[in-house]
Amino acid sequence: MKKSGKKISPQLKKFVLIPPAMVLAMCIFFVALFFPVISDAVSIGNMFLSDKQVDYSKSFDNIFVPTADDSDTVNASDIDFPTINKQFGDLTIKSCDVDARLFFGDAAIPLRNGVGIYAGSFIPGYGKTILVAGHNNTYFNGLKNVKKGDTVKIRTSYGNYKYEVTETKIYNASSKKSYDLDADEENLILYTCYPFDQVGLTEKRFFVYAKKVSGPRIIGLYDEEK
Amino acid sequence: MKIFKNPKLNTVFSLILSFIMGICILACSLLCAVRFTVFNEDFLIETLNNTDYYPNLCSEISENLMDIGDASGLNKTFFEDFVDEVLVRRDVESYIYKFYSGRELKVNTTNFEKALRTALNTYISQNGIKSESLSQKNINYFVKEASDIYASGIALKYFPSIQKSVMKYTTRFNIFIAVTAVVAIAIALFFIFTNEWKHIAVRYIYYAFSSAALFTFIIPAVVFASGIVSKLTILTRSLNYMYTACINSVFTVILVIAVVLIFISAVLVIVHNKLRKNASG
Amino acid sequence: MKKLFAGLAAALIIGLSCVSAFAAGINSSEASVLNNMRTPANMKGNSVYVPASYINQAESYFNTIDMTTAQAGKINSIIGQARSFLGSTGKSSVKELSASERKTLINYASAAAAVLNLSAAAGSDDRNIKVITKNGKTVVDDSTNIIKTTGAEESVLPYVASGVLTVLLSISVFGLTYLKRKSAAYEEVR
Repeated sequence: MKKSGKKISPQLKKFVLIPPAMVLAMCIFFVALFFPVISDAVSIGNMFLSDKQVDYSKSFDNIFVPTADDSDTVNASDIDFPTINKQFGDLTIKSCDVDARLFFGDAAIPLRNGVGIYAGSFIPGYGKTILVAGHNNTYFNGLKNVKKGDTVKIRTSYGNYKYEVTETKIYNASSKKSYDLDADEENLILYTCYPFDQVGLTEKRFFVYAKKVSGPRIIGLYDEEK
Repeated sequence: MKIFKNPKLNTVFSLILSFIMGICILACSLLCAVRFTVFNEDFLIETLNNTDYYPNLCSEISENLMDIGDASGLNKTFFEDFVDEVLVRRDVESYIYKFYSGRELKVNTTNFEKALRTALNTYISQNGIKSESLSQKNINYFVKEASDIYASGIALKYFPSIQKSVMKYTTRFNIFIAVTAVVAIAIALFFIFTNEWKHIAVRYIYYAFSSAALFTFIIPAVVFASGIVSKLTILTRSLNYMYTACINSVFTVILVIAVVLIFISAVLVIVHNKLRKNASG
Repeated sequence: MKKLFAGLAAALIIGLSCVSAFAAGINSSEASVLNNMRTPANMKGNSVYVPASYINQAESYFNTIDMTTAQAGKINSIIGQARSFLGSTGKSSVKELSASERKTLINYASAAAAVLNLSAAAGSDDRNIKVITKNGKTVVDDSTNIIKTTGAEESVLPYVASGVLTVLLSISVFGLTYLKRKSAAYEEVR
């Protein structure tokens, strides 16, 4: 059977088809030669890629909407659990002029704008340790006047909490005695640098320990409870 | 070319040589692109100057210093305008020179520390800060931390590891470039001198150049088309500027090389056709 | 250094960015991962545990997502493999692992990162890494020390902050470590 139309010359075919074929061969050659390096580079490189450009803004999200609800419990499914660097409440100690936004996470953004809960501890109502950091020259400066029996108030969108200060202590920053992240009882720990009102950086920390007085307990956290 | 009696074997042998030549041209091109960009201190310095690297870096260092100032009982204003872009530029360039000369990559913070202590003393006297609020230990700690922040801002991330693992190959790089170029030329000469019909020699050389051209074109084309560079998750804006600008520059150079190789390939096609016409005419 | 394993396990978990959000509470899949995290690795008789801070972070993160059984299965499998691998090295601590053994750990981390759709953001400092989801959401932005310098120190500084927290962080540390190999900075991170 004869083909109709213009015939492509064999020369042209060679000129057009052989280079891509060689490129393919080169790809196979390089992959075979550098496979371990390429696979490592791809797997590690992939971890440093995102679908979107990194957001460099220093702003933060605020999910805090004050509530007047004073129930004893709140269902986990009704809570918008905060993620890192989100403001989800505020913390006040009237007796010593502490009034700060409360964030989840305690890196730069939270500490610039308020006080922050360490992400390895828990939010109020969870029934575990709540470890809160703040600067001693800004939001937690007032802690220098805190006394045993003072009330710490934390407001969140899912409930309002009160804690009573039980004691204050000073530890070195590296000391692990100052907190227990395994505790099964709700306990609030506030801390800041010590001494207060110093020019320069210090190695000690001032810890304020408080026990829960009131506020809704979060229920339905685990499947078996639901 | 009549190396083998069987003409098919001769063709296969020529194609293999052409393939090797293509690999050599490709390797030589890529190595040259890297050699004259990543391995060139002027390239890096120019790249930084052509981006917003320095203004961003200064504002990032200032921001970090303000955090430490917050923690150290200093007003926010203390670190406003404190970071001197001229000093930053000088220190970064000095860091880059150290990198390329293989010297220890340590940022000299002497000038920064000196300026900080002077500013701190002025601040203390101007604000009438009482002696009970002053402890030399805490101040030294603060100055050290502030200097560390400054130094980590100046230091270019990953450069120390690059210096350790890559820069030592600079000399070998030049040798590789020379070797690949020599091998490519040798194969081209082999084609020319062993082929009675010169257009056939040119055709095999064309295969090598065009395949290398295609390969060098595909790499930057894929990189640019995928937008992968803009998706790098680099934590600071200044570093992001630097790395994306550097990577884009390297791939742009590769693209330029690809265009040159495509041009050479086109010339080879023309030469081939002319030689072939002469041979048949 | 024992925290390396802890970090791996935790890292495998914390940044489940690919899963659907708005599912408060810990479902049975998430609970199985948390329980798996609590199981120690046995390295030549030494039990290496994941620290509470990692597990707590995982739990807090799980409260913001809804992990499927399939995802939990993959994660548990990777944690299990990493744990078995650590036990099979014959070393008594993660610190003693050789470069190739560390590389294997990196591969586990890479596999987990792929499953979890995570990214590590490199900062201006070797200890400074932020972990984000593929869609740009910050999952980890924290510091090495639990107790921060409130005050200053690295932890307060956004880009000098060094992290401990999570999987993600650990994954990225592994990645960096691979690039840096035996550099002193690597030892410092761990």
